[in-house]
Amino acid sequence: MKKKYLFVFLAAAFFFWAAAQTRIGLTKSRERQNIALSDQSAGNPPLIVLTTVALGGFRGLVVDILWIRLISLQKEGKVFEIAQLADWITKLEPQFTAIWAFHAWNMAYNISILYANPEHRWLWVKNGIQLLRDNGLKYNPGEPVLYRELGWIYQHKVGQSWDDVHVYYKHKLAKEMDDLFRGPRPDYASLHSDTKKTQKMRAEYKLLPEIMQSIEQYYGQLDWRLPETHALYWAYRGLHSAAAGKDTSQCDHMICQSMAAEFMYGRLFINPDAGIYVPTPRLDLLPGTIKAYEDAIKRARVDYLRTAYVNFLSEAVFVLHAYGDDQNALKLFDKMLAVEPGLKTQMSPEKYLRKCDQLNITELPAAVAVAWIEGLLYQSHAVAPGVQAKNASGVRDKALLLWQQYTADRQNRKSSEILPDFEMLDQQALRRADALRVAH
Amino acid sequence: MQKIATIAALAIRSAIRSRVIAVVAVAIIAVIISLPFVIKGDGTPESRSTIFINYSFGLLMFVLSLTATWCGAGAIALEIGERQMQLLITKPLRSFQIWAGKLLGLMTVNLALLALGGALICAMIHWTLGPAEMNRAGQQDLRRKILTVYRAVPPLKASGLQSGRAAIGPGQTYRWHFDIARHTAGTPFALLKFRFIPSPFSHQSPVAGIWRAATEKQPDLLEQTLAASPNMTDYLNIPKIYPAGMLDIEHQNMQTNPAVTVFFPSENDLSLLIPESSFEANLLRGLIIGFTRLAFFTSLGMIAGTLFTFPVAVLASLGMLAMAFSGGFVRQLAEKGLLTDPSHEQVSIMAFILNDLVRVSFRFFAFLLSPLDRFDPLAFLPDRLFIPWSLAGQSFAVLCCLYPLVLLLIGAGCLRRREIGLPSQ
Repeated sequence: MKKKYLFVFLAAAFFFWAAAQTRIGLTKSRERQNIALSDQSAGNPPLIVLTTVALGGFRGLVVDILWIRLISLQKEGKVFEIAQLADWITKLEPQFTAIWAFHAWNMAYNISILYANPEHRWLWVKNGIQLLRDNGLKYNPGEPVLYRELGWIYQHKVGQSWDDVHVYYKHKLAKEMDDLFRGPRPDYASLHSDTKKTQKMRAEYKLLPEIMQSIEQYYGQLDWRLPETHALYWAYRGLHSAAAGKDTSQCDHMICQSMAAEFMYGRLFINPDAGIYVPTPRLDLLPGTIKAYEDAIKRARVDYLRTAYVNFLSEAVFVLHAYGDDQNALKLFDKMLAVEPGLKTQMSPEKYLRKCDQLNITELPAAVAVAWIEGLLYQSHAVAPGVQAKNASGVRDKALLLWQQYTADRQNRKSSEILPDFEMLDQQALRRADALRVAH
Repeated sequence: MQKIATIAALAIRSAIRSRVIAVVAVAIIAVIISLPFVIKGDGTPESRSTIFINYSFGLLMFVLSLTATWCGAGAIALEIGERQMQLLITKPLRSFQIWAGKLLGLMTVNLALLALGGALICAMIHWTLGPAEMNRAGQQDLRRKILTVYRAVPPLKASGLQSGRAAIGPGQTYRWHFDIARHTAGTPFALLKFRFIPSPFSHQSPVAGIWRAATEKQPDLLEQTLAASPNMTDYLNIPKIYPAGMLDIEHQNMQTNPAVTVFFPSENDLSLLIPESSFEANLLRGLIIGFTRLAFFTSLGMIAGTLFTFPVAVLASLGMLAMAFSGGFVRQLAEKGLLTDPSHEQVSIMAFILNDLVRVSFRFFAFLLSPLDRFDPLAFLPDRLFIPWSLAGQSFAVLCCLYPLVLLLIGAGCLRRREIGLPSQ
């Protein structure tokens, strides 16, 4: 009897060993042929490892059943369970990046829009963000696609004006960050002693102070209440965490777009209680933005980044001109010609600046229109009082006229692109001019 | 009767000895207690509690149905296999007494497990409704919201139309009538539950409209402009209604730019919800219906155990259980069969015949299983809909008396005719 048991035990041990040997070979073969990802289960929590291993091939079946339920609930308008189902589906297929990306997008875009109430919408946008930030990236830290998807929710859903309650999202994000940092950005020097705040940044928002600091050191001081700063942060992390061989060009693109946005409207004046949200250009971020584009072009070597860079430079020339800084605008124009020599034959710098003054403001995006109006107001304030009062008044009148034209046009079109109040822009311009005076 | 009670006591003892009951009890306790910690919801306490009720009660019923079927099959087939039944047969007992005794014993076990699960669900729902970050008033408000159960009153049928069904063009108005004579006494408020589909279907933004409510005594009961989201179930709060015969609800579609027509395609898409009962009482009625379903599954397992050996009996009864839990699939096969497009020219005659056979057999199953669809507590509990005592009573009559009685007669007959003492067995 004992001999029989010994034989069974030895046979079992042999088959375990043989199975392990076969698995090693199979995993290597899968990696070689790009059939599936390499063995990434190491480091995953026990629950995930247990479900993925225990269910084996049936995992796909369970995912299908959960997905069918999700679709049917979404069709019936019973969406409260969807976050739960998305959580389970993604955890059953933790290394399938497209599933994470789909469910985050579904919650942030398709489900949020179903609600009329902005509070509920924001809840679902946050559900999408949390799915990627808290879980997706935990299980796929080397996947730049997921960093880019997370950044996209900040950049597009929160940052842009496609959603009719985008201002509510912006206020909520700004308030959360303001409560966290007690200002637009953290005081990195005091963070070492404030373990509670650091813990919250790391655990809840996954904002790592050392990375935030290195981003600001490289690109310039940023306002973390802006969605574009978060898009930049996640794209930056995607770029630097990507596993070998992964395409990071989309992260590069997002860094460029976010920095361009920071330049165009990264100076924020906010008062959530009064519903005031006035973003205006951050001219000091121009060198950082140029650096972002030039680095990306070097790294990614894709044509569309060069075209995007030229477009940005042409807008930046316009903005600098709007703020009366023609000297730097002309230097920037030369830079643009250096990047795209073909433009030399089309336009001289002086002609380009003249053309800027003749643009139809209603054809410009809101951010550029704000820059133009605030730029003119800044010029009117930057002039020493009493010296050229007549000219200042003329510039101010032009700013008011442009504001009225743009506002009337957007009201006619029932567009959600609304300019801040003229008085608000004027105050911002005055603050900018005062800051210049203090600096001098 | 004493003989049946003795057999029932033996069945209970054998179920306890088999350790299946202990394992199931531990599983129920572990699952229900751990569920609130793994549930996410959409971030609101309402969604968390709704999901908890849905999942915990669903899991409880699934596990107990499985256990009931398994134990039912084992109660006869295993005893025949282990030659215990041969001892019983030789006693002065009728086969229906053996059958009824075993059913009674297993139902007692089911009742104990169901009571355990129900008590845990009730305790956990109260526990989850007291989040530490919420103040006392907020907690009370949340309890009132979650723990109130509503009776759904459908609108009266208009001539030529199904009740509730309506299509309202831009700028148009539609009126529904509700008979509330028996329901409104003492109700502090009511809810209008509605869901509509927009035309064009691509319109996903909220649709503006004015809702008006009036009774004979309260002509201006409510007038509210509301932007409601298409395809989403929404609720409108109606203030206290004094006892009245009829309530008129009117909807004026204000969505003219862009022009959107709103459809209320079925009677489920619009109903008046009147506070009727507490969650605990509703859960009790739900548990009673659950108990009657377990009676059916136990009988099913026992009949399979009478006809087949244990492994085959378990397989057959689990197959029936799977069909019972996939009611939609059975109904779909009963209606359409296997062919998605039977009118297609390339479908062979054999395929047609096979399709018809499948349809006929699944119509039979759908007919048999239709009470399970009708008496399903999960259709009420998560949505906080009132389960009437009459429904619980009907469920008891059909699933706990009629079906088990028919199965008892068949099972007892089979048991009597089965040659149990054969050497091969």
